[in-house]
Amino acid sequence: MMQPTRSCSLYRFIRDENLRSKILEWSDKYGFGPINVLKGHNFYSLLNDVIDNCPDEYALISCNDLIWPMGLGFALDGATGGADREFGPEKWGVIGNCGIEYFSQKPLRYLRNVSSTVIPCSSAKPRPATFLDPNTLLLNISNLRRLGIRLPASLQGVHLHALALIMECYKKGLVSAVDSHLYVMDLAEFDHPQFRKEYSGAEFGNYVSQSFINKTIKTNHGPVNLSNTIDYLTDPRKDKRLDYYGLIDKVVQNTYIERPKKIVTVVTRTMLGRMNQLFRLLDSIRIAALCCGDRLVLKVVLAVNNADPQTREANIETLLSKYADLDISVSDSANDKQYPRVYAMKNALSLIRDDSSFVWFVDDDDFIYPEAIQHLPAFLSDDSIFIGDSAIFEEKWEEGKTFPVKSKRVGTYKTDQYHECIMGDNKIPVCSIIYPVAVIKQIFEKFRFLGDYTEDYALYLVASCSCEIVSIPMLIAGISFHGANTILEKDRTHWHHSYTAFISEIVEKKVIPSWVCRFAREKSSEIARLQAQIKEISNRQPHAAVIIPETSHPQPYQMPQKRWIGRRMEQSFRRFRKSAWRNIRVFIFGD
Amino acid sequence: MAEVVDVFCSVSSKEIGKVRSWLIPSLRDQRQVSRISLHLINYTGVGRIYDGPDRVGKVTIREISKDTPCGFGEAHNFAFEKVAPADYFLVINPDVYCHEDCIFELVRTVESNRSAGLVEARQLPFEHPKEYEESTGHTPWASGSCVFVRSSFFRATRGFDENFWMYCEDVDLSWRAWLNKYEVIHCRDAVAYHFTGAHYQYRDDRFYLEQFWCARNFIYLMYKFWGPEGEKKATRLLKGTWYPEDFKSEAIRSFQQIKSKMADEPALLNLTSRMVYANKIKVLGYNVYHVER
Repeated sequence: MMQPTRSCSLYRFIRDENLRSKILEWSDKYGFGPINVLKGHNFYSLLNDVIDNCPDEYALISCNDLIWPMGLGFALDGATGGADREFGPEKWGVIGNCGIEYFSQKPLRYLRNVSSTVIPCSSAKPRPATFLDPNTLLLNISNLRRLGIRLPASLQGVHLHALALIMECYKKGLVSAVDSHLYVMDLAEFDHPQFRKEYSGAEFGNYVSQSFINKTIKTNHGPVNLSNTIDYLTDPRKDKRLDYYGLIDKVVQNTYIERPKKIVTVVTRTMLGRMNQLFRLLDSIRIAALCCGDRLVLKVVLAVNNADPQTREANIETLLSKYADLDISVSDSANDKQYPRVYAMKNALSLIRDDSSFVWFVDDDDFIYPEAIQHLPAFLSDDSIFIGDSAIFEEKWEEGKTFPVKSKRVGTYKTDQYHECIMGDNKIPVCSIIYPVAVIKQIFEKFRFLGDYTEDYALYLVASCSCEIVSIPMLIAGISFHGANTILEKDRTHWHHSYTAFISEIVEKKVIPSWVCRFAREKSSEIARLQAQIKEISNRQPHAAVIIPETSHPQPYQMPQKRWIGRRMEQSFRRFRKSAWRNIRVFIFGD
Repeated sequence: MAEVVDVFCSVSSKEIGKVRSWLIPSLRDQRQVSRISLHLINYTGVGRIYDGPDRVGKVTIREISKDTPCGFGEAHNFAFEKVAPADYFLVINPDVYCHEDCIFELVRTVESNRSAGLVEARQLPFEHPKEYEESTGHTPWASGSCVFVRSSFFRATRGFDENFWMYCEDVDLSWRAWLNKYEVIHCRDAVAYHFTGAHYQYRDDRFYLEQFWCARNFIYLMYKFWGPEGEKKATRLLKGTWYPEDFKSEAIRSFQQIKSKMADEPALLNLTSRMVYANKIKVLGYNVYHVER
């Protein structure tokens, strides 16, 4: 058994005395070392005991008869080391294995229990959390003591002490997070009635409402609803309480301000034929650059390809002088008629010298969201692809205007569709993804990429099989539909040839594991079978609506087709669809 | 070419970062405007908010304060009295980035139309779905996030109604413009980038100031223009919303406080004006003052 290289005391909180002997027996048998078994019905006070009396720098606390991994030392080293690297040694308070991730507000669960046996994927790094389940908590005792963090004596119970602890941590500027290093097995059933009883009691409600204005806290076990006052609305000057999630945002963002700035290069492939739209994109980059100065460096590479030789030089000169405040490079653009888009990409990459930076491909008629840029440093990591949301706008442009004369938001590409790309069609627009430069360069070294259109899909498929994916439902780009979009071309021949070229190479080079392909194929045929059934029923029973997923990708933002079918069929279809997609997501990439 | 344009922006320390990083650079880069005087109204009334340079390019920056906390309308009325802008002034949110021709287009519109009282800029990327007439730009109300105001109109109508404190005072001012024979114009070519707002959806774990003050001011606005009949309708519409009972009761209670302080003035809309301005001054649902485009 590996012992942790950092000094960490191990604790078990139990309510049933009979567990004590079993836990001590495990400790001997599996070499965990000395374990402090603390019995009580008030875990708040037990937690305070640990904070006050733990002899070590860290404390690992688990409840009841949770099963720890035999290589616990590795897990603890991984979790503490990861948090130190991600937030800074003095910036974190507690790490758990199950909670609600701050950025996405999605539940993360790194444990096997009676309700979930699915194998989770790695969290890659500790993810800041707004809620932690108390089954396993790794406390940074030094930081908690240094900042005088303790739980209030007025609180009692066994389910919400972790939430109270992270609230206290955030108040003092410490981050709390979820990390897959702390994976365990939990054999006990969750006690929902007791959980409800604890949060609906006056003590917990009073405790939260003293500091925070929120009426709901999202947890892995359902929302904690609190009856809170609304004085902050009627007289915000007097009611100085905080928004819990706003406080977390501030604390988390602050941990990244002091870190080295990350560099993101926006690569825009352009034929310089849509200058007004390009001005709009550069305007959005300028606005973003103005507000991200202390956190992120934004650069631009204009990958000019197949531009009109008559106007090329003059247009480039105009761009460079109008946006002299931006760091813009122009890639050398000897024209390539067969693979201009891939060619332009490669050319642009050659101008990005820093392989530890990031690249964001944004088409010249699209734009970026400045508000999002400030949050990017927290998500970008050299071993992950970042995926955000993109809004779709139907626009009308007029000659001489550098903004659309009409613009209407008609939809959104959602980040949580990323796993559906395995079904053979692209669901994520290129401007929704930010890649580590090193990853893209490696792909272009290894792959021929002899095609043109759908190159973004191919790139994503390959990259997603070699990297973690961080998908955050945050609007990062706007996509313009103005009638002259390449993707709307009616003749699909060029698209099909490119698609075939890319997928053929991906198949040949075994990019996607064979079992994943098989899994996707089986799910795909199940969907097709179900769709056939729906079609049959819809002819007979036109009473209720159901949303049918698209099996192909006919138009980029077409709303799902609605058909009329029976209600029971609709319910079973939705259940099926939910479970099918959940499985695919978890097996391949994880949440 | 416009000579000097006064710009009013009410701020606290929460918003001053955006003023520095977005608003001031975008004002500096305005084309066909000689000088801009940016008046930062410290609505907290405490200390100083802005510690940057007094001049950035063509923009001179001055912080003013009433030395007491004040709402949106009160802050701008104070600035108007103190600065006394000659012909017109711009009211703008701190988190707006003006397109380089924004102010020029606003000036051009207000100068070419002598009855224009309010000229609002078009917000992008999330264009307001509010109706407007293509040929004249006439719109029922102008959003206060970036609106050009004719000084004579503002003076004649005694500016913003300070009872609103925040939210809906722009609708009130617009309706009073129509009633006083001024036009409210949506200027399609004046673009203001405003990346925040309703399109970044509010979370449901808390309420927001906008939700509460829009509820309270919705009743007040309807009472002010339609009298007790309007109050009754507004209360009924508010009660039909998803907000919890304590929220609704608090909004109604807050309105009653204002009502009890009001003099016994008649409703602003009489039978004739109801007919004349039916297409401009209208309520189509809870907090809905326009037809969606």
